[in-house]
Amino acid sequence: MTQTVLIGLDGATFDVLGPLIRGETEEGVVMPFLARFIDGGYSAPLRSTPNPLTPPAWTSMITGRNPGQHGLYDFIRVQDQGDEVFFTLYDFRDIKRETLWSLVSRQGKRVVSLNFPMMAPPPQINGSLVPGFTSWRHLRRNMTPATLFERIKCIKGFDPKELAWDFDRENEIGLEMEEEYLAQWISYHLPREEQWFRIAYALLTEDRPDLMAVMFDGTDKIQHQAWKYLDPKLQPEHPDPGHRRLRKLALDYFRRLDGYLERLTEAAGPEAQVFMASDHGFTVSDLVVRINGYLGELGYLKWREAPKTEAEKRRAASAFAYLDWQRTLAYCPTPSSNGIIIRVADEPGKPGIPPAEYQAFRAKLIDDLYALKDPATDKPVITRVVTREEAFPGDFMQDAPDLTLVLSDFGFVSIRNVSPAVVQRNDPVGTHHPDGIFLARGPGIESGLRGETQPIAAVASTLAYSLGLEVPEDFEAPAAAECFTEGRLMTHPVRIGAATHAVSDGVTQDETIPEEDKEKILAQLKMLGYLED
Amino acid sequence: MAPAEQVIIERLGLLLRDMVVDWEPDFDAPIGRDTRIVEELGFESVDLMQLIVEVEKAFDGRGLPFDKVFMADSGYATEITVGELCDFLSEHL
Repeated sequence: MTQTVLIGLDGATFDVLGPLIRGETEEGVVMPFLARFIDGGYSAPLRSTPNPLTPPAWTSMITGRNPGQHGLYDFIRVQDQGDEVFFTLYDFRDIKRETLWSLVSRQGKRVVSLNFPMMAPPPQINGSLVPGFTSWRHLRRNMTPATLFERIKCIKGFDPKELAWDFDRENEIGLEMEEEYLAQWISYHLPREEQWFRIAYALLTEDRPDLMAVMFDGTDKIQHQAWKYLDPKLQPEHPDPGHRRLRKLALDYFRRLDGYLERLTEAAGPEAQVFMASDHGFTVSDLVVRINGYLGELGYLKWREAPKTEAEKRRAASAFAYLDWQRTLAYCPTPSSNGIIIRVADEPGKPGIPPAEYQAFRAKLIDDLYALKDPATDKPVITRVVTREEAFPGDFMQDAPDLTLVLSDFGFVSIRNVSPAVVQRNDPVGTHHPDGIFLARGPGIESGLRGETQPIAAVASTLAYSLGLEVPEDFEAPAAAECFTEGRLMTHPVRIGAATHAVSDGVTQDETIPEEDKEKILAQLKMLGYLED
Repeated sequence: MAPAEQVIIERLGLLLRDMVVDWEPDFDAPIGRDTRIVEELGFESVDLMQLIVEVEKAFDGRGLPFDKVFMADSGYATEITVGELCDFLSEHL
């Protein structure tokens, strides 16, 4: 029997969902099921990670730990080798803490996990896993169990090209698009979600896993590109036909999504507790902040010479910093990081600042960042500069950017070599906001309760509790007890248990000691006088 | 100790053949030292990233300096042969 369902809605925000469930738009109620779900259940804002971004935030949600403990900060890992800096993708082996999938599996329960990011190469779990953010060309080789591809191939309408991540298309996020192209871009996500829904429905109804988890990410993509057609505050009084067409397409996505949520909830059965959560919220961005351009003006970094070959031009146009590494001291590696890396020379003569100068250099850099203003308003464009020890305390803090920036409009920075450093956007776009959503409904869950903001790490604890498991003592946030009824908490008190298991290179270490080894250890302890017969 | 060169070539051949089976490149010759991974097998930069992961798994080579063979000018190399990858593994395993 399925006890617990987690439906991830990447980037979902009450700001968009609210009017769609309350019928406050001329289209009426667009998501009637979600309206009933919230009316009869629990809802609360969910506070994301310090940089509210898909890889660190989803990983926090399923490990119960902040990025300083789980080790993921961005899509991209930076390897600084002094004379050169290389950029590679983070993957599952970089997650330094045990996931909920592993925790649940090793306690004998079955899991289905679909479309969560950073899940390749896929871990072995007691159930099925299809990773998100994986090209269709590599899907077959990246599923658990290894035979799963052959199984889901038999699901009616299955098309790996529709299902999987299209890197070229997703790299277009943030670009200005003509109406026709944007219409195609939005439409591309409709069949994609249908594919994920069909797989989720099949595995839920056929396998009845104890924990069913599926993530829909069209919410994030469509909000990025079609924000001005979704944000209630940006709707014109008299929209032109092009605006009406694109809004209708975007709302079609949410209407279909509502159907998927309803059918999955119904399929889970009346005994299941169903949770929905987003990794971050969304809001409007109206500024372009070319942070590396600004750091270049101040002398913190030097650009490479203008690219000449086609390969150099492609590289310069990529989403990774393309700089003169011999002469760069501080830079932003990727737009998604919103982070600044300070290069510290590990030996004299190497690029970077001497270690002894780090604190003073960083303090001056912070002052300089706060001094960046929007020339149109003369207001600062960076509202918070957070040091890594503030943002990411933990065993893996050293891999975090030295500084994390929060822009005045919550936008992501640009790393292009373009002037000026700050300009207004021609069209507002959607960007990530720290506050996402957390919803729950089912037996033992409060009805009609709007709760307090929960930290994203609380989701893992809450799901562990829902599954009847002990909440590991090293999870950073307690289970969201307020979402459960008093009666439920009386009959099923929250139990804190042993810490999560260690993880090495993506593999959870088996910490159970074989009986024969236990006997040897006990015999040795007795011999040493620590134990009495 | 690194496996013999011929063993590495054979294992790389099997690995690459299995990777490309889903996208059916117009290449049906045996995969050998001179096979060009980008031009002949149709690898793009995202596929090269996946190839690194697969090679790491197949040869227990996590943490090897793959940038030496896969990167050029701060980006992914525009071409790499099976022989070059084999030589890299022979040197670093």
